[in-house]
Amino acid sequence: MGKFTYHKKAFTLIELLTYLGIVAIVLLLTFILFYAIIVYTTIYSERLTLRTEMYKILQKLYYNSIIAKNVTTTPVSLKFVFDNNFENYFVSSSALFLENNSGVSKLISDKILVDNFAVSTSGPFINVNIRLRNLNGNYNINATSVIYLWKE
Amino acid sequence: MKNKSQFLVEILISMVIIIILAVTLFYVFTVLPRAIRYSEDSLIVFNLSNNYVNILNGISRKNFIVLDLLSKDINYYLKATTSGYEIKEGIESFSYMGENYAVWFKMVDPTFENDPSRKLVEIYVQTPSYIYAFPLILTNLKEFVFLQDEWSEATTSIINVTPTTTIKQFATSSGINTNGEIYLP
Repeated sequence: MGKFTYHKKAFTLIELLTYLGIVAIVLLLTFILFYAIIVYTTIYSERLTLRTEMYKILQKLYYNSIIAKNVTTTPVSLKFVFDNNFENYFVSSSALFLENNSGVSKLISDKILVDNFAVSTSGPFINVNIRLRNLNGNYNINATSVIYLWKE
Repeated sequence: MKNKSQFLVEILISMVIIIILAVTLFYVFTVLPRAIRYSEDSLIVFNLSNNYVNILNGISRKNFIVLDLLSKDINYYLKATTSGYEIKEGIESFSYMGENYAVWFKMVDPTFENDPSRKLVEIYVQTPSYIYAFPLILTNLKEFVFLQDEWSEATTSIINVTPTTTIKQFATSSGINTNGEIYLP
């Protein structure tokens, strides 16, 4: 077994402080990076859900206005009448429901709530204001769909 | 001395790591918010352009003569009234989530393909990043149609379109470069 010998290889104070400073900066940047990625991913995910659901609703309203034979409205509901079917959109317990010949089904995801579903008419046009928000209530999305019944 | 050189190498490596982290952070703080913003804009553009398409089609069916009064290349927007929408000169601007948006339309060709019964308009939606343009042919259409033979029955003039297409025909006339910006029902 060799003899243990101590070599004095200590850093100077400035070298040590520089080293620690660089390590601190690396750790700080790494923390900020991961934190930012988590925050943005959360925001994107929440808003993506809202946008997807809003797209789904708007698409249905726009398309129905083209193919429907008639539309009847109340301030809180919208009913499209087709040849052999109908679609009635209404809000209950902060959820949007769709009623048709098959029964009543929930149209939107369980992850979001409907804040507003207001139907108004302006001459031959029907304005539907929809506001959705996530369950935490920190993000919402708003859109007004103007639909025009073609087959009138 | 060996420790000193090792120390220098460690500092250099650390600096490289810091630069990589800084570039990644810059990417995260610039690209991701922009990606979120563009995604938000897509819904607004879809919503506003479809609203304007519906309103302009409604106007062209109910009061086509109003379109003859529009001047070429002037900005117009649609204002809600109790009896429908009226066409006003200017741009409709609004703010959404702290960003400014605008929507308007222009009469590009009041006699599209030398046919005064067809008007080519362009709808514009301005987001913080881009201005999107959507061509739309307005005519005194009696009913929405999907196929060309239906179109010929619904209008007095025939527009060349792909027979099997299922998009709105009045947005896909020959001679119009839609660049994919068409209105899917």
